[in-house]
Amino acid sequence: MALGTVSDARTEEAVSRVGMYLTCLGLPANYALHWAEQLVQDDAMSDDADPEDHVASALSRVTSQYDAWLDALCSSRPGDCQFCTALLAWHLPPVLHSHPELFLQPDMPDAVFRVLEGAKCCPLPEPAPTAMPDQSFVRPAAATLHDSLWRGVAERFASWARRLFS
Amino acid sequence: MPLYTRGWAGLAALVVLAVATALAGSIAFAQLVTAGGWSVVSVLLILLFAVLYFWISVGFWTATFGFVWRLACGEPTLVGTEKRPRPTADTTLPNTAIVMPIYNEDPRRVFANLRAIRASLIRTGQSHSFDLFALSDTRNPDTWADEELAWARMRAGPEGQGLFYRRRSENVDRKSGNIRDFCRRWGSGYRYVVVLDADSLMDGGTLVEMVRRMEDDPALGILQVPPALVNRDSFFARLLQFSSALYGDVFRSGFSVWAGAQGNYWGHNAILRMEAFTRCCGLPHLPGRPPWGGEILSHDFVEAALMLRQGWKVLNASDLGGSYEECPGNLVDFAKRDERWSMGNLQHIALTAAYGFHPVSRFHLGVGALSYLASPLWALFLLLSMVQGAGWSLFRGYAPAGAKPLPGFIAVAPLIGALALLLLVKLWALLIVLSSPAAAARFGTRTKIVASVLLETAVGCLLAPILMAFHTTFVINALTRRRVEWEAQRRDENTLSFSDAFRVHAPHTIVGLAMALLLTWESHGLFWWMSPVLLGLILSAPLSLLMSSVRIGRWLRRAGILLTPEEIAPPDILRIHAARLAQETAAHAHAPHPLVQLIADPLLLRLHLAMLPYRPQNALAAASRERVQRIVLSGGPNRLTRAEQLMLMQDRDALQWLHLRVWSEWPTRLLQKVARVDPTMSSPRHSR
Repeated sequence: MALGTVSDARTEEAVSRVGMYLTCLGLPANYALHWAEQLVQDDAMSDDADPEDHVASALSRVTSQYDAWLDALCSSRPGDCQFCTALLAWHLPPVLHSHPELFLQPDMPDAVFRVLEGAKCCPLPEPAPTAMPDQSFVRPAAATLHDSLWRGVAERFASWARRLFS
Repeated sequence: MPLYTRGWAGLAALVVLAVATALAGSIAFAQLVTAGGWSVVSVLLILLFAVLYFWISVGFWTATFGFVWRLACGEPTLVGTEKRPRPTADTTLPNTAIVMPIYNEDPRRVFANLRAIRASLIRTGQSHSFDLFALSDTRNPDTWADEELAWARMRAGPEGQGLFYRRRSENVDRKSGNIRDFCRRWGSGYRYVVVLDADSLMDGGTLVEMVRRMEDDPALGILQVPPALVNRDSFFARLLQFSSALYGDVFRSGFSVWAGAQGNYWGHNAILRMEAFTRCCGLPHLPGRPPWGGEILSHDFVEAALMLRQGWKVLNASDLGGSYEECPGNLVDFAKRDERWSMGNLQHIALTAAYGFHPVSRFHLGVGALSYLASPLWALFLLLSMVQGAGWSLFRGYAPAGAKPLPGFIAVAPLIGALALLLLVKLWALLIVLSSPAAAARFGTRTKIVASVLLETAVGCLLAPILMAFHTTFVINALTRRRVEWEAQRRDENTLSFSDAFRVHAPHTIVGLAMALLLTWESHGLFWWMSPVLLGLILSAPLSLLMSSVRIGRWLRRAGILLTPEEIAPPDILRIHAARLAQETAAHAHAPHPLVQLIADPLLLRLHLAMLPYRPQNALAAASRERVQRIVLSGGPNRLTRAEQLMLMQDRDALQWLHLRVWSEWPTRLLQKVARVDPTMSSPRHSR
């Protein structure tokens, strides 16, 4: 199905929604619309489901691809992956806006990182456990005596109060 | 050559002077109270008097050391450090992390503080050496979502570089566990770590200077910069801010003189040497049941003691400014904060006997506990004074036959002496300030400074018995093992309501009235002697209400009363902070529900899912998930309980499903409102 031949209003609504979604990810409007039409058409050709379901299905494909893409970016660089993924997700939209073709390129990680150079996305070092030993500075006898002393005081106090007011 | 003390010589001097003072006062008091013979009550009174007199003598001699030091040396000087050649201004500083543990705090204020600190660092040209970490233990789902949104907003701006956010899924060991988690995961990347509280502000220049001082002295483990109290307008808060600013100087200088390189750590506004901290400061759980056993509630004093134990220095930089924090805005919030701190300090009693602690550390721990134990001791002293003086028939068996009541007025040396010790401290501080025009100008005109001191003293006399009552209650709660729950401190400034004030202070009022009636009946002399205490207790509710008033606080400020240096000449960091807080408030004002934004916005959702721990996160059971999803789609997340919202935020599948349904079903207009949608994409028929 070629561009401009989508006639059904509800399908057009579906294209619009998917296009809006892609712009939220950073793609410029014209690219977003183009791919949105393709995604919705591909989905519409495959079954007779409701256009609302086309939106969900198309978006599901978009998010799966985007997430896999983020994972590939993250795993291609050392660092703390949790922050890396989060920060990449935040830094990518301006990159995609100026280089929308990156969204579909197979050698995505290197290409994106060339553009992202200097954005400080993965500044954290590999997590290295540091020594945090338990310090056995507490005198167990003193601490136990301390605990039981206050417990003894409290129990005696409570017992006395009960006798006084009974 | 600056005077500073090594080892525990300074402590020894302080203790000798305080003990001598307490002894002199106690002997005089003993002569007074045993005029009619010895009794159980008189012995108890003498012992209590000795302990309380020692307690106020420690404060007096600390302030006196500071007063003498300031007279001799002028401006406060850092003592206890070795001077070495300093790095030049353009030397690259080592990597330093600035961490802010947060727990259900207002994200607007937290990120306004972080933005102000970053902006201030940028002005120093050394911003690239510092990374900021917001370490969240937040349990409130709305606040959690708000934190992520605020972090994302800040990351997008010019102050967002080197800013990281992490939320722990399990709040293990509270704040100390939060910092320990940071050290384990990222500590190896930083030579130093600056620990802040959620309301802390530190000037960029001060942060750079702190790092340089740590570099100067390889033996320095902790450098604590005492914070000034700022940013509050209520009468109560301004009183605290003024007294901290005016009297704090002599106390801090005096503390530095006797503690030297064996200072203390207050848990925030301090820089730690990462390697030393991670090697020395692992905290165990104490034997026994909570609250006396279990996790160490107040970790800061213990961490300082552990550093000193391994030979590191702990210094209090009384000469450094640029360090700020906020205080509670009313007496009730102040008491709530004190309740948390009281159990932590009382728990330290067991640690005064710990292996290998420096004598100064044991003293710090002991004095910290005594700061709360002093109140019930004072209450007991007052009660026994009534017994001795009034000669109650109920307790007649405890008083010897022919015992005379206490004098009807205070013309007795030890009691006047105690008052003198308390008031001379204020006089030392006042003399220092009034001695130079420049010093006085920092607080306003001389007349208004004196008026402020008189007002602060008068109000302080009335507040003291109320705080005594609060602290006594806290100690009793601790003895009866009533567990202290660590609520998030309320940091906004709210005038108390009538009902809150009267509900909280009703027991104090009742006790005050009962004491007044009994004394009126039994001993008029003692009644007048105890009248300040009785007045404070009886008027506790209206006084608390009055002091929570922001209007009165601002009126006093316009009148030039209780002014602080930061109010007269606000430093840059405070001006930057005010601007950032206004921006954060504006961004938050008309924003949709944070959870709605999280579900609807593709990038924010991705950010949130990326921040969840790696293990599979499907917190909701299948049946619950369907119900929750249905509720959110039909009525929004507001209709869920807090627990359900928290579970939903940790359930990847539920969030992703909701995300797709929202984009499929919600009207375009609503999507534009909650997700950041390109306006040109708003209509189905758009230009291509």
